[in-house]
Amino acid sequence: MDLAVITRNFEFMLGGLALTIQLALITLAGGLLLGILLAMARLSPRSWLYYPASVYVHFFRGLPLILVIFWIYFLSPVITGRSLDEFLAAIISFIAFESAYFAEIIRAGIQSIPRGQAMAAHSSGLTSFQCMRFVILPQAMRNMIPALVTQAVVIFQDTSLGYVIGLREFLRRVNLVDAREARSVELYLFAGLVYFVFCSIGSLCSQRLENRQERDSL
Amino acid sequence: MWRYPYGGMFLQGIFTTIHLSLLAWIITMPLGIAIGIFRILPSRPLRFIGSAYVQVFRNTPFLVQLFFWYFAAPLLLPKPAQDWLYNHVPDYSYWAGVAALGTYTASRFAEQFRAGLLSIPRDQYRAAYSTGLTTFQTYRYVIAPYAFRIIIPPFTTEFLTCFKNSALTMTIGVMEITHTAYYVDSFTWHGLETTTAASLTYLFISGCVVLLMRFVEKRLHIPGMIARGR
Amino acid sequence: MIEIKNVSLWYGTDHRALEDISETISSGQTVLICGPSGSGKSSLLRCINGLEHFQQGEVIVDGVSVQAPDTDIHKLRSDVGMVFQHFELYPHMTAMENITLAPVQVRKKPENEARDKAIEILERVGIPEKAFKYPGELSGGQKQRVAIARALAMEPKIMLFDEPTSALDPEMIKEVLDVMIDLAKAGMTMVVVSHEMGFAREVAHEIIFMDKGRILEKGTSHEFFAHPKNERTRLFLSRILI
Repeated sequence: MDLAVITRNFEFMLGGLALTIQLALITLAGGLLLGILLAMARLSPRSWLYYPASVYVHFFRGLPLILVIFWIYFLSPVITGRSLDEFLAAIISFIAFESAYFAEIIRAGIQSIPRGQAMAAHSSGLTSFQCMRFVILPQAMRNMIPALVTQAVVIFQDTSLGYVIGLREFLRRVNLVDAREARSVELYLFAGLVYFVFCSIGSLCSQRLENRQERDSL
Repeated sequence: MWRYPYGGMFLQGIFTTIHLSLLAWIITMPLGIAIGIFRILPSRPLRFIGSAYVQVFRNTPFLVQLFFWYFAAPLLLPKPAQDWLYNHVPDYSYWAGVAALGTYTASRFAEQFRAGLLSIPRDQYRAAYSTGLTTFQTYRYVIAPYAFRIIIPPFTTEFLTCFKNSALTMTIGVMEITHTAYYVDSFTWHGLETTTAASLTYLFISGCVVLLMRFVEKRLHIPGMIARGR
Repeated sequence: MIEIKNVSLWYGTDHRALEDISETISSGQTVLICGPSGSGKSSLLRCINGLEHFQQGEVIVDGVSVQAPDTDIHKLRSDVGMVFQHFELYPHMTAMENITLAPVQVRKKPENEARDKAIEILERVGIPEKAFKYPGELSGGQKQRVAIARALAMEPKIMLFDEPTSALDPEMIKEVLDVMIDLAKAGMTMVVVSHEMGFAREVAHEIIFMDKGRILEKGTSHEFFAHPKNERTRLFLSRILI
């Protein structure tokens, strides 16, 4: 077990981590935003909102992320005539993909609120918008947070797929070092460990939030 | 694009995806069930093994696990085994893929299975015992059929996830659908068609699996029990 | 005040919740609707404030037709208060916030004015000290009284009650009924779906018995209890009056 290989290349690999974190945060923000819009559309009685949103969500949930990345990276030059920077391509694919998952989480959260709440709100004259804003969403948000945090952890892991378009995020860098040094066992264990640490923290937070929720609602 | 040989390659890719996913699933099911059961057994060491397994495999990206199996795992074997592996096993990337996919999906399935077991109200057990059934009979006649029906939706989603994750094996060289699409594109520059074909294939197969599962669910539906609220 | 004209409501093709219901309720009257479950009582109630969509007929509330396309349904609903069987208080808000939400957002009242009014109403229902408690900290009877306060905060002309005491422990039913009796005696127009016959006897001007979507019998409380005309009514009464 030659651990020195890790320390020698530490800086290089960790630089990738910075990129990974950046990717994850941007995807989280964009994905949530788009996810909320999609969820609203999927709950809307207006067909022109509902059907496109549903198609979008089913489409992206039925494909592997890697394929989506390919679509965006290799095919957008064909459409726009320009070649796309890797980072941008990754961001676009990640946001498009993850927003579909967020949309489902948010929609499920909103639908889990008992109908009586909406009825009570409407019966005092509140409009649908006011009802959503003051009564439904605050309650739904509380329910959703564990699932949202889990999805954030998934996003963090999915950034590793930037690998396939050569994006120099963490995993890619580990892989490069491995190609040079050929100490695969140590390197991939290290990679695994780093991800593990981050994701475990995320999962623990999610667990704690879930437990707190159960206590609150009793 | 459908011209020979690309059409053939594409079909080959589809088959590869399908049997890779199925093989991985064959590993996943028993492993997942076992780990799921471990996590709710009274024995602490077994519970710990179960939790540890799930934590490790869920908190690391699948790609990292894949690389580990492909690059690192052989190095852990004693030298003669390594040599045998490299010289005698032609498609190691395929088998690494199966192993990685199987173990990863097993950890996810274990969680779903455990959730399913836990969701059975304890009163069901009590009701069964109170009429004199033994533990074994209770599990066989009451719990298992009940659990089986609860499991079906998560079973479907996990299988579909497994199926989609098979695409990641392209990074270690497995010629499944996505890789084939990429490969054909590099020859023909008809990337749009190949990726469309690949997408449609995934969507089509996912769709079929979902429909099949809905059919199964309906047939096994217990009237009055909460199935999937539509 | 409320005119229900030939209202029919059905779900899907074969479940008819209401069949050709007609009824008039004058201002200041208290009407009790009773009947077995599934008879359509709650559906009828929800038709009055537009929470339920009916396919045939008309409902006119204070001169405004509920399902007319140009009706401002939010305005109509702000003049009609509703109290639910399961209270439906917003769990993430205090009692005070529950009560002031609609006046502030719909009638655009300033916060402090709404708050003062809320305390006033809470005193009226007997629990001013619970103003800043969350629903999770209140008993069933207290929750329902807060719910009534919430409905009263909009100064409605009509109050609708959908089985307000059915989800309460027996000990708490009285406190809620007392509030409702006060309201009725003060002249509020009320439509109450309930099985509380004691309440009916005391303040109801008219009692309506429904079954399978139709009105089978109606009369003053005296007539209703003493001389029920319909066989089904008699059966019902014999089962619920001990």
